[in-house]
Amino acid sequence: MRFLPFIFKHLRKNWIRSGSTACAIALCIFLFCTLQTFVASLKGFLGQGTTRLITRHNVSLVFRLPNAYEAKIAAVPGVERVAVSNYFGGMRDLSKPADAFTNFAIEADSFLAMYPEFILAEPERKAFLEDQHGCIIGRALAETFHWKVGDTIQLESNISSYRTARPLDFVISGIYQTDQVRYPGTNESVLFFHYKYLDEATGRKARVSTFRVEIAHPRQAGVISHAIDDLFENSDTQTHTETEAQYRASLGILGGNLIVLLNGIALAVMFTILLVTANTMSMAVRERHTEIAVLKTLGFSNRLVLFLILGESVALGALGAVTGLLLGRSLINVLPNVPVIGDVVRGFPKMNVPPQIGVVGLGIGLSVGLGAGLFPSLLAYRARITELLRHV
Amino acid sequence: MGLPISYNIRSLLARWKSTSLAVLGISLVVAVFVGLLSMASGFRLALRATGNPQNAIVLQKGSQSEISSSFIKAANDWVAVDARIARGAEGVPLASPELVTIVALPKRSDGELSNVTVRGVTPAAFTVRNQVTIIQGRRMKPGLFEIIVGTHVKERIRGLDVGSRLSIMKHEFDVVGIFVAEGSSFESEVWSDFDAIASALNRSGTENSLTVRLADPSTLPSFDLELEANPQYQLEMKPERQYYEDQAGPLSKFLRSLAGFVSVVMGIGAVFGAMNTMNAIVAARGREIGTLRALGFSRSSILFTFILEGLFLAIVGGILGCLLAFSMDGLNSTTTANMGEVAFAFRVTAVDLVYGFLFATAMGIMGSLSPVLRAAAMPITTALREA
Repeated sequence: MRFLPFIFKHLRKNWIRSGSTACAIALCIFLFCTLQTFVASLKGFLGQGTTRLITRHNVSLVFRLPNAYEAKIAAVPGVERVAVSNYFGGMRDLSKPADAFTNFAIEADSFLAMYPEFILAEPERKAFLEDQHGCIIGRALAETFHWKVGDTIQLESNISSYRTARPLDFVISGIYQTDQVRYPGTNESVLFFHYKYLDEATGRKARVSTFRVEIAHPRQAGVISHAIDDLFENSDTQTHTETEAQYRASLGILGGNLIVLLNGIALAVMFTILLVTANTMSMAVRERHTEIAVLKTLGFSNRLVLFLILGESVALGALGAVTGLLLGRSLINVLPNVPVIGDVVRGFPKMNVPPQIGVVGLGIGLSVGLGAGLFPSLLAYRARITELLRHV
Repeated sequence: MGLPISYNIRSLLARWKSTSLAVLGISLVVAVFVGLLSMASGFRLALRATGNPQNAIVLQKGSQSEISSSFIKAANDWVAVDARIARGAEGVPLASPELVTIVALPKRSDGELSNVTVRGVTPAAFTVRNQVTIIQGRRMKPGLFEIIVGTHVKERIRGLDVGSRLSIMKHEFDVVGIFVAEGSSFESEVWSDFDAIASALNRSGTENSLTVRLADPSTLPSFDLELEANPQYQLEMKPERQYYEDQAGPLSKFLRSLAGFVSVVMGIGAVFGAMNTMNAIVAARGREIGTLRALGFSRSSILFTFILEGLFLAIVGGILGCLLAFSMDGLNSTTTANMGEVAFAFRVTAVDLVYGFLFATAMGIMGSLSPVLRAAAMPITTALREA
């Protein structure tokens, strides 16, 4: 402990070098934490909903199922709830694909009951359930289009079979919130409306893209999936039932690839800071040959000298890591407004660096410091006084 | 008077440890940057190759993709007779009506389901889309329940070798051929006979899209206006290439933004690294700089020579980084476009390399600027006094 001032004095002496190294470490730790937060939320998102199954047409999502299947699925032992959910593909203006956002026709009562991810204030929930033309939207969507509760909007589907004579009218009944800590990656840019409205507007021809099936126990997922598919084995239209995680994996853009890609980048980032820090430390030791010799002459043990240099390196790593984490905390609110970068960040729900990843980031900072200081400090440990003094 | 370049090179070599650390740092950043760009390029190129500049695609008005588009045969016939469409042998219009659907099939690797695009085509498709070449077996025969399979699908999906059977909506299709299509996204598709798939899907009389070869592509905008003006059929026409590039848009944009974000942050980190190296180079040579000045070399020539040294670092780093990125060239990846999975390969394009190189150069110059300015500003006497 009493050598801390010594270590800091050294770092201060060549403050430009220490500063720029710490900045390099900080930036890289910041990048690492941001990317890993994204990976964690992606993984969390993909792994969610273990108590939910999805039943669709066995050929693919493009085909739809008869409405009558709903009652049969609900009767399967172990099934708690069933809700219809159809991707609507509604747009405000079909000639402006850039404005497109996701929207689903759902059986709201049971759907909201099995998706606690979408948090609605009780009066708004009630208003939505009571109004057949009502819809609920995510916070981010409300911000994008400056929509508020009570606004009316018109949507026209880009899917041929949902085309109606005129666009469907909706009233915004509520704006849902999300809990990104408990349910990472919950989409904040979706519009949900009543399936009944769609079905009536299309003259009862909407049929069903997916049944969302809530089950009591995750471990029953396999058994119940088979039980549902067996129900329709011998009918004209067969089903395919899978867990929500499997369903998401089959849809995901890049899916597993993206996680590999981001982890690869994180590895490159770590290696880069290791190089920068190692460079700094080897410079620090090289210019200090005489000083180390003096320390040793004065009776400082080889070991102590080694620890002093290692300490300096680790302190540098810690300094950088802490700065990087603080940077991450403050930038999380600023980033979405930066051009280019904002486009990437805005696409995803707002995320804060979770504590676990912060700890990992700090750990990386420290170990980079340790790793970078290892070689130079070993050299100093081994070098003999006479040798050190010979170099000027 | 300038200093010889060999002076810089020898000075860098004299500090080879520090130099190589800085060079490696820069090269990693460049590699990540170019790697991400090449992924975006690969995806864009795969979809771009799918569109022929002579072709136009007719869709239901307002539908963003073939999957969601649908129109009746009467609409098809109304468009296909137009004189602006090129004619093939025997005066047949080069127009390919297509039925497109998605079928979930088990992957070879883990048996998990993957969405495969199935396209029902008439023989006209092979003239309109002349990049398709059968490499094994033969084409399907009209009216028969036969399919041909793109090479990417054959590699990725179980049981699609020539001679095997695929069941779609309770109809058995024989796999009779494997095809390539110049690396385009068709290679990620299964093609069947139009009428066979129409009867299997119970969709006779409708189609998803009509792709036509235009005699003169410049007539497309007016052709499109005419189609859109017809209230009965509600059609629109787009250049085929643009249609496929639009499908690549969101992912390409995402990858490019990711490349931007990651490289800017990593790049600034690497600039600090380069700055350290240049700082050390300058600091260690105080006396040398003083001597050079005393010998009569001007401030500007010293400034120039040290910036050159920083540039050398960056250029070597840039080259190394590009070489590293080249090892990713051809790496296979898949993504979803239009609900169907599309395979594509990383493509390190010349433009990507130029960007990487410029990026490295910028890092080198920015990293050496502040240490070098200090060195050049130093009075001779102070410089000579330094250790």
